[in-house]
Amino acid sequence: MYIILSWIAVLSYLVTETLYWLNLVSRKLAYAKLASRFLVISLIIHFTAMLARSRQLHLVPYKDLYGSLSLFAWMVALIYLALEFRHRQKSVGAFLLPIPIVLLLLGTLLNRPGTHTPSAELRGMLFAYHVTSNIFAYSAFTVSFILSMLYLLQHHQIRVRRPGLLFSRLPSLELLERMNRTSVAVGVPVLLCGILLGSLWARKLHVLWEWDPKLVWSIITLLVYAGYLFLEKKGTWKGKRSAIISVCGFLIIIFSYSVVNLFFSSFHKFY
Amino acid sequence: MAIFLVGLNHITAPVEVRERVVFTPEQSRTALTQLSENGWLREEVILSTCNRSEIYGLTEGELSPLEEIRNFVCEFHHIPPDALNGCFYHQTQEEAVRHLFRVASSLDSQVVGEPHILGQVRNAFVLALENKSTGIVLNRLFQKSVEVGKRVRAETEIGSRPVSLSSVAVETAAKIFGKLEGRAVLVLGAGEMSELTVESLALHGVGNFAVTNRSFDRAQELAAKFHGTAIPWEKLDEALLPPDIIISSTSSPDFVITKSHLERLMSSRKHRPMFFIDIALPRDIDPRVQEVYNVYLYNLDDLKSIAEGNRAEREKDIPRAEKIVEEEVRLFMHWLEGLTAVPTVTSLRKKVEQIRTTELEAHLRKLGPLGERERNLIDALTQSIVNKILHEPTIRLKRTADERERRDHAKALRYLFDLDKEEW
Repeated sequence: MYIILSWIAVLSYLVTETLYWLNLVSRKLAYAKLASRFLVISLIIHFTAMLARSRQLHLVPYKDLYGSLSLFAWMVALIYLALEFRHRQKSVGAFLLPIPIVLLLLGTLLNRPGTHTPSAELRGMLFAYHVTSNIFAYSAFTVSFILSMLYLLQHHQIRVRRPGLLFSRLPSLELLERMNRTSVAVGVPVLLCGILLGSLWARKLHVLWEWDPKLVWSIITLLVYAGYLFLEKKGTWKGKRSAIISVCGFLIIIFSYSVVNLFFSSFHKFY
Repeated sequence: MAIFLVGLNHITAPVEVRERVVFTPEQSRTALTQLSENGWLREEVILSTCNRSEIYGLTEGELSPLEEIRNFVCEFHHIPPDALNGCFYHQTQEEAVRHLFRVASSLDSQVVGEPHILGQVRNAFVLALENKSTGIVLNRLFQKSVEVGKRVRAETEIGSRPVSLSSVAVETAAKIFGKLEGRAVLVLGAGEMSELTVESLALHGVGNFAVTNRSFDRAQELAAKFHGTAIPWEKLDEALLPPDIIISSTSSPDFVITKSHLERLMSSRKHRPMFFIDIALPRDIDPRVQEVYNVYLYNLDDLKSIAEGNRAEREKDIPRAEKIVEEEVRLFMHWLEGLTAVPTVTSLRKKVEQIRTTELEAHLRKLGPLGERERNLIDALTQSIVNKILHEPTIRLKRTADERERRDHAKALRYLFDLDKEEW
């Protein structure tokens, strides 16, 4: 059931993405308005899919690839929607939505059916909140990554004095920077919470504090983004340099999601 | 009934001619009133800008009062008729509709995509509307033309990319700073180019101007014009601190602002971005200031090359704009043709009904006394015959998809039943 719903969600996201592009190309605002509506619908369908999955497993589905990728995708889309509302800017969607689409597609395709019987340690609210906040924070940083790339692109276009095809359609440097700051400012405290919740949960399992590689990398990520916020506020690093920090932070996340997860981490394996 | 247009524009008439036939709003009102009194046209609108003077109208029959209107224009402006020979163009129906839609979309403008024409079309229409010179057809035509203009503007690039130096500067500033309202602007050197740029910035909501000039008087003059402040040249360094945008056009032979100069400044303004627009020749601002973090610098050549690139881009999009115009012309003509079918049917029915009632009354009188039931029956019988006969032509006329065919049918009906005597 949840697989069918996931496919419907993928389709709905694709429609949304098409509408965002149509808006960029034709500049009809009607497309953008429709796109936002479709995004809301996609999020609801996607949520229903995840709900169906967790009903089946009787817990929030993190332990498998589908669960973590799908939740990641959902949150990226959700954070984008929130940003769109907050900053009244609809042209970024076309660049951002491919991420949730690919994530959800991967999750659905690579999903191996069969019920993972969850071990006792993977139950409980504390654990659920820990994982949810971490994924949420990483989603916020992913959004920040896209915004930073757009910033660098726009900056480059101004610098080389060659306003390209999308120059007039993309938001201003100032707005991209503001949207970027919002998403990082949301991500940092949530990641901090996630790490703390994780350690509380570990304590409950009578593990006092273990320097798991995944934990180390999470803390590094946290520091990088906290540094972003600090330097951004100070002004010296406003603009291009902040964008580069955000891109670096994202590369660290990719690294810790892939390499660290697969080869180093002991109990932070998702699948 | 046909839409009719006669006029001249920047292609058919040189400026010496155009300026003689401009209608001021006041003159437009007078001319509109005189035109409707003359009775050549049923509805009329005058569109007059510095690039065109055009009279749109709706003719009574099929014949266009071309000569009359031409002579009217000449008389109105006290021009000998020969002076305008060859300047006028004249179009009807679909061509006239297309012409107006192209005008409103700025496809017929001297600078394709220029933004003012749409407002001018709207104003011309509002003026005629207030003067009660328009009716159902021209109302719709002009409302549509404004919509078409907006649509072309929104869906193509022809109006989106700035092609003048000052608007390129403003667009770039907007891409750096976002909303320009509340941004501070410093003007170095109060020349004509700076004035133009300041003007476009002011149009985009910038209200905070400071002007500094070697001659303080001129600085005060320009500052007063845009409600800004004038700053003595000696206080340049202080003046540089708050602004985000600096427009420089002094006649200084050396750089007025150098890299080291700016490096000092940037730390005290917390490295907030700065945008320099150097429109002076020789240049005022050391190109190396761009190496300073968060400083953007455009000089005259940069602005020029972008403006030229944009102009080429605009032209590339003309076919798309023309396609939109075509689409809208078709829709409008469809509506217009529908307009001729519906009144035809109505007047046909009216005429037949009239015949029926007169005949009925005459024959009832001849029949002598009849019961209520019989009277009703005879009435119903005649009604039913009339309806049955009219049913087929009504449906067929309305259903004819081809516009020209429908118009021909309507025309035939009007001729055969002699419907044109009636008011509709």
